[in-house]
Amino acid sequence: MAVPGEQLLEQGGADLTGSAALRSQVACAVLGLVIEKPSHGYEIGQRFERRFGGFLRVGRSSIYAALGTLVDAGLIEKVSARSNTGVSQGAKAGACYRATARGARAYRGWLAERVRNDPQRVDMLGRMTLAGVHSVEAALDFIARYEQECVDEARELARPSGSAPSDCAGISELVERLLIEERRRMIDAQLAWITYARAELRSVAVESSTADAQR
Amino acid sequence: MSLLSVEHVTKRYRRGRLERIAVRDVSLDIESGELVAVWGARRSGRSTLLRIAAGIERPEEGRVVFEGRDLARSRNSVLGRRLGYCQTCFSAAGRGLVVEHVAAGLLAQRASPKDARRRGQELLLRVGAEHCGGLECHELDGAELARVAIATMLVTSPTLLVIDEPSSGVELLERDPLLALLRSIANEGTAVLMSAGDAQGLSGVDRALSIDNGELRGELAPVTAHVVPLRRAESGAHRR
Repeated sequence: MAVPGEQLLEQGGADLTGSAALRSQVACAVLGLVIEKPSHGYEIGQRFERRFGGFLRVGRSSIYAALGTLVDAGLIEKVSARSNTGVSQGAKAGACYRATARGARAYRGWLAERVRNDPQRVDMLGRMTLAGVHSVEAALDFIARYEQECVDEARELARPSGSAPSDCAGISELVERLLIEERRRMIDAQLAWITYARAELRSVAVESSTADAQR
Repeated sequence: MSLLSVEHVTKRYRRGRLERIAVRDVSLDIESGELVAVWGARRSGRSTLLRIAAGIERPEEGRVVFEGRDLARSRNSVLGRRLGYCQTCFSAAGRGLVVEHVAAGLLAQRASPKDARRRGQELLLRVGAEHCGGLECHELDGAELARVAIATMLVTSPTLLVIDEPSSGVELLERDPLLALLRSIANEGTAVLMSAGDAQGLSGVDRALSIDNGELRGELAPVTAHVVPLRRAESGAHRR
């Protein structure tokens, strides 16, 4: 869900949040792969095929188009192969790409929003999450955004009030209430998952810091 | 100036060598007539935050300003007068009729028993619990307890109600009407700050915040339009 400020920016013609670039699932998947590991376009295409081939069937030209869109939006940037970026050497010729800080933020925000709105694509999103959120800190940040999306949606789920003027209207109002109740329970489940996931991530972080201290 | 300003508040609990930070550098502003809910899991810090906001607990760092006064420095406590607080549900001390418990706040302010009782019954009507006035407190169900608790807070005409999980222990079908009551109280100008343990407790609020590990997230200040007063024209042509 875009914050008011973001909407204003988009209305003004300049999409400073990069949300326009993330309207394409291919662009989102590519961004996740670049966040996971700065790479050449060719290598990104190979990894895309391995990771998302079963879900998104697109040609290499679409991958390069997505890279161009992400660069234009400032979510990723081209870097020299000789710079100290961790880009694997020896890949086929072409520009190397790495994510910008804005790109990482936009990706997490996009994930949080999509996980809420698109629950049937959990498998796909899980793969994207693994690609773009690869540290405990980043995962906790993602979860915090997801949580805020959930509570914002719960806030908007107010039941209709007032008495029904007829039996027919009474039934339709009841159905609407039941649908709202269903959504609320789904949000409760999402919030319960958030609580669980946080506990898991924090225990991992504690174990990791303990191990570091013992070295 | 906001009705309530929680400013960079931190609260720690210590047990022996162990220390737990319940609330971490939390700031929050609430305006008159706002209905604000804080969602959080158990031990997230939500109840501690509400107790601090109500002036029941003092933070170790930061301050709470209510109606322009620092709660920690106020000689006369506003709790129970300008500011009402209640925990999950109403718990009556001792025996007695519900209307007597509701009127107790007014009796403490030296109202006559007759006036206090009349006002108590009016407030029970306001919260939809008029049928409870003649009952003993132990006869009330969850929703009735919550409504009576709200009436007990309203008896002193507070400007802010702080309620910890108002819908806890309330039957599912009774929760939305209870939240609608809180909404109507806010619409009349009394701000409401409450905690919620589930999605239902957030429905229809003005701002839904979340707290985890003592850190508060969301819109921490109300979105208000700042009215800039018009400047008087400086040229003499418009002056009389």
